[in-house]
Amino acid sequence: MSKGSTLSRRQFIKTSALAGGGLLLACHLPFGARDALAAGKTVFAPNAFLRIGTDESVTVIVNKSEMGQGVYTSLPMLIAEELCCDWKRVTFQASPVAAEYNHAQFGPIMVTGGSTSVRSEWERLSLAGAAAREMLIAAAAGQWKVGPAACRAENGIVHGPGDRQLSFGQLAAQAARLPVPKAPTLKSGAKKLLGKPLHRLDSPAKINGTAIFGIDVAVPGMLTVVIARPPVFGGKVKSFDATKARAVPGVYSIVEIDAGVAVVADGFWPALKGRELLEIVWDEGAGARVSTPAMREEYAGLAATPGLVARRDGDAVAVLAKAGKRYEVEYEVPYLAHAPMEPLNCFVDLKSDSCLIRTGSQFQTVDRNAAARVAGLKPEQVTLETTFLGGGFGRRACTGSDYVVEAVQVAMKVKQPIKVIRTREDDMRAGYYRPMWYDRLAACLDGKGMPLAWQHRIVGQSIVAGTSFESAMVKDGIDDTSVEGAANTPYAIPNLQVELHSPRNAVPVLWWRSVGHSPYGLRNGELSGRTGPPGRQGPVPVPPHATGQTSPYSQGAGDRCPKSRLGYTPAQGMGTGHRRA
Amino acid sequence: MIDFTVNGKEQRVDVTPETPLLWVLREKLGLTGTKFGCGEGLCGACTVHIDGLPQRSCITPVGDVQGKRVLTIEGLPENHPVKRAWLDQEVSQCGYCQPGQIMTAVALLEKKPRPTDADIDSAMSGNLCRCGTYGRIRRAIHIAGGKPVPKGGKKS
Ligand code: FES
Ligand code: FES
Repeated sequence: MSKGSTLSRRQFIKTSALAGGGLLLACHLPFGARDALAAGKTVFAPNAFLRIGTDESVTVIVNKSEMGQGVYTSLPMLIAEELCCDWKRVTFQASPVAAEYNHAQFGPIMVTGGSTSVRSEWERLSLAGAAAREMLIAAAAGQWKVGPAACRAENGIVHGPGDRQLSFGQLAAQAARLPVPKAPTLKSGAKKLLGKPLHRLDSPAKINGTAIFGIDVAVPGMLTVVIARPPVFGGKVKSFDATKARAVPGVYSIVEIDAGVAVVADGFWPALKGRELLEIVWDEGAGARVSTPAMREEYAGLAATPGLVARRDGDAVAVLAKAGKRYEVEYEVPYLAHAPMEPLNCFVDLKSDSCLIRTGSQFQTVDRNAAARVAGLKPEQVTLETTFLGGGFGRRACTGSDYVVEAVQVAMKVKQPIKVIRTREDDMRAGYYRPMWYDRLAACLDGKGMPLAWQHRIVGQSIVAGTSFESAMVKDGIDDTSVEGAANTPYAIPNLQVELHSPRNAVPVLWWRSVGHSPYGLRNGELSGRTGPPGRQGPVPVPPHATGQTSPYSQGAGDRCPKSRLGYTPAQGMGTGHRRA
Repeated sequence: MIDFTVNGKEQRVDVTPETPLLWVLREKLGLTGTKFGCGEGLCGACTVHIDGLPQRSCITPVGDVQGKRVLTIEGLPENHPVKRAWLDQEVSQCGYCQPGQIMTAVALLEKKPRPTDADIDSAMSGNLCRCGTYGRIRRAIHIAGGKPVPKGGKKS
């Protein structure tokens, strides 16, 4: 290892505390930088998110999972804007799991979700780029013996007095020896990259077949696994006969795990054929009694009784009791599978003192820790590498880490690298789902036709009940995600009451794209349409009319909406919009 | 033993003939660009060309391609007009369905170089995209077919 790279490493360790926003300091390099160092290349790695090579390469380490939303472009743009590098030199790399890559706002956890990737990383990555730029400028200024103010960076080059120029690659080794600025200054003036349409950095790999998704991971000697799961949720294996399955050419072994019976083979097809021949007696357990009609009946009964109050403004119950005309409606939405295009899968290579996982995860810290717990290892002995995700929608941020845990359990029995693949049917049948919801709404209008009282009773499973997130996310019996979009409705209704029942059952449930807003968009929008001002035909365009806000981003009809009764102000940087559900 | 060519290269594989071509491509030949979405011929993620025609490799027994020519996403030239149009329109979101979409689109354009919207909809209807990139797929196919597509407008 060269002197330069030793220094870069020390710099990295020193600066990761800064970049981590006060979070834990981890003494390791992102694997890409590690490889580069091992190869003896000098690398300027001023923080956890960026490294600049003497070959002019600019690599952005992305701590968010790419599942279609474009984070492998948008997050590098944030750094590149401030770094003033040559965009054509920018590449990306998925970050490992480490404290410095935790979500900037969600606490000590690496996660991609909640439509937060760009907004939560904006400041941290902008500062990371700015700090590196200042160091490169300082390195050039030092060589030229001029003040940094006499230099500027543009397109990967530092320009100094009298046409002097040095490229970022030429400056990388020297910059790596400099202290990292504690409070770098962000650029002023017009943005060069942000706000401009750019081509995605990951598009070429996605159209030529080289993008590696979890399902594509393979190593020599790897075995492929499909799992027979119980026909009802919560069921268990009572006994099984694998004689016929074992006779399928290519089937290597059959092992029982918590999730069911796993068929391990030298390929997907023999594993699937083997599974078809398994003879399993299941103990179906209490889940066998769960049925949609029975749940509907139970939920409708609950909807007729008062629930825990999630929001109370005025006295909706009393106003509704006296109302002349009441609008009453019940809604039901079914369980919904996330159904990502790429069925769930997970690669595991387990050794006695280490575990390598490669999968498309949105929930790296949780998955890594779950794997460690199951395998009896320390979290730091587990390496989780994030692949491309063929869709996430929240399914790959599973509170129970189900698809990782089952793969680790198989690996513990097989002692060879394995990859579990779910068939499409497995993916749909094995859970998790958006919960089934049953809602009862009642509303009445004032003399001008504006909503005067609104009562909303919600019945549905809490998605965090029974998980490690319950204590943090359930307050006074109310899971915030169960009433999201309802208790925090943007409509200013003087008498508003939102109530919640959270029945439990064996069906596994989880957040999904937009969480509470997906069912509530339907209910709020639809009932608002019904109760809209008298004399108007058809549904009223509620959101712009109701919010009465002129958002800085709104144009056209939204701007002309009458100022109304609602006091909703969008947070800074957010606009208002219509929603269709 | 089954002999066939993949992307112009002769291959010989030793698997039971009913093994779907998809898994032979992915697991025996390391060509993972062809994707598994359903295994039932319902989603199009596994689309390849067999002797020039788009086929679902997940329901094609490898025994059936004995002596035939298979083309996968990896075998399309880097500067293929469909790939260029896909980049131009930034069609991909997660990207998982896109190799299958592209293979179907290439086959359509070979048969009908200037397809109408209706041609596109009917040729592409078996290729699902969970991310919903259908609008851009249609635009990209028009562009690859040489039809000028106005800038701006609806991007979905
Ligand atoms: S995987 Fe072949 S059509 Fe879906
Ligand atoms: S791009 Fe994600 S499924 Fe089509």
